[in-house]
Amino acid sequence: MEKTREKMVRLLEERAVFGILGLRLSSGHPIPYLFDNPVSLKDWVVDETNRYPLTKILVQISKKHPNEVIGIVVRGCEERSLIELFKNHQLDSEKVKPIGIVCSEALGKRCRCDRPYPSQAEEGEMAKPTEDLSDIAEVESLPEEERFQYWMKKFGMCIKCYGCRNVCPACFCPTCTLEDPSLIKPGGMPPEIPLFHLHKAFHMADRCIDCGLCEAVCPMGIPVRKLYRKVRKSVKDLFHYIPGEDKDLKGPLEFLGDGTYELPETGR
Amino acid sequence: MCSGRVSPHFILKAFQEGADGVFVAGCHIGSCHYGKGNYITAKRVAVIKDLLGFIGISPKRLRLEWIATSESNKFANAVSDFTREITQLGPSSLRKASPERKAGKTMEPIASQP
Amino acid sequence: MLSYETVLTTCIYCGCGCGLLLEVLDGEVAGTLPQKDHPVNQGALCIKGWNAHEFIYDQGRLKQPLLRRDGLLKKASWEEALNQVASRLTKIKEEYGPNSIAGLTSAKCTNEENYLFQKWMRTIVGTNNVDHCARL
Repeated sequence: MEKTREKMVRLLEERAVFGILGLRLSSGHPIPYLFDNPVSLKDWVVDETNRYPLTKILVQISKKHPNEVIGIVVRGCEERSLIELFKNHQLDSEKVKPIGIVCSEALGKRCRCDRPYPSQAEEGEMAKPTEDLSDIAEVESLPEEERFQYWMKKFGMCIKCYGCRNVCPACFCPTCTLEDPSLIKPGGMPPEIPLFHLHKAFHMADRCIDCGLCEAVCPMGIPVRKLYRKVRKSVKDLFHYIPGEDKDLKGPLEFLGDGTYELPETGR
Repeated sequence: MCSGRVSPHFILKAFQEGADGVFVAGCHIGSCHYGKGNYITAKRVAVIKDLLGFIGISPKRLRLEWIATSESNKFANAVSDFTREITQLGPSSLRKASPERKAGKTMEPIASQP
Repeated sequence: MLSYETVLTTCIYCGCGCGLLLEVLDGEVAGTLPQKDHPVNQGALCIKGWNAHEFIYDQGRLKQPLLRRDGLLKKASWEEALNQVASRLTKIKEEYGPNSIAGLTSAKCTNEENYLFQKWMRTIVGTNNVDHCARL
């Protein structure tokens, strides 16, 4: 990762950015840090096992300091989340400098990522994309009643930690649907299921960039990513829209309609 | 009121509370009284149908119809047809399985057609 | 001055001891993240863990000792407060005996603090009436 490190040092020396958000090795653990001087970059590491929601941290920082230009080390998925955040006015593209890093083949396969590389990187080879929808197909092959029992069993383990929402880069609403008492009853463990997970699945239907942080953070191991991947696939099949690809194209559920999308059939 | 006002979260909440079916009706495409509201209704309902089907609730339980204010016959026929279909499908698994069995008390079962 | 770092620490709530990171933005604690490579929680947190930082700047936190005078809590110095506690406990012990006093300690204290507390209750106050919030 030396070429990338050199680029980061250059950016800091030239004061092109105030600081760069990345992972720092601290007592043997890679944890998020804002590197604000070139010397500190000697502790910068890239870690494939421990992924943190860096873009969400960036949103938090730039809300407090909207005039500073901040660099951020991004993988393929994180770059997609940046594009979605720019589109939804949570980040200013003029104040963010992404520095791309590629994912290894092993990580790309593990994440079932369909684009494990950013649009620009200093070094490394682009891993092969994985087009694998077998996890969705597996659930869809079950008959309806069994499918329902499967999901109720999984959702019934939910302890309402809000981890999936806290870590998701597509979740940035100041007042969350999941905390609105008129839409979902407060109190109770598990929360109203499947409503809790369906609320979130619909809300970020055209913003999910399939980073997989949600499933990694769930303490109960609920396969939430399967649900969001299904919604992502629905949006792709119905509206030919993939979040995180085009920085100018708005999500289909973000605006009323201008007849551009082919409307699905009504009735049955 | 525009069908665009029907939040997808209301539809999902209706199913959670024990509804066996949800019927959404709006103006015809291109004739929305508020301009373009019905476009978003169509998009939302399509995504919710896929989502419900994936969870194991039949997408047939959610219906969207375009009915103009003057088409009272069409409305009557659509509702009767939907009622018939829901009666055939039976109570929703969510109503039967929901921990809040009180949902069964707030939503009366759909009366069978004569 | 803009500065951001995360600090490794352990959750102060239950006995699990999940590893978490406190996000420090401009010198103030702004949020919590789970530590991904911790063997206990492996990158997940419960709702208490996710909000472990909230009490730090809470308005209700005591900033200095308060003594009740004329029915109202008024600010006092540490010396006044400790003298008050010592003299009243001594009086109670003289009048009603050492077993009329009980002590309750907390899981939020360190082991050393809890040891000191029970030692003080047993040797100085002279009673075995000492217990812990975990037993409540």
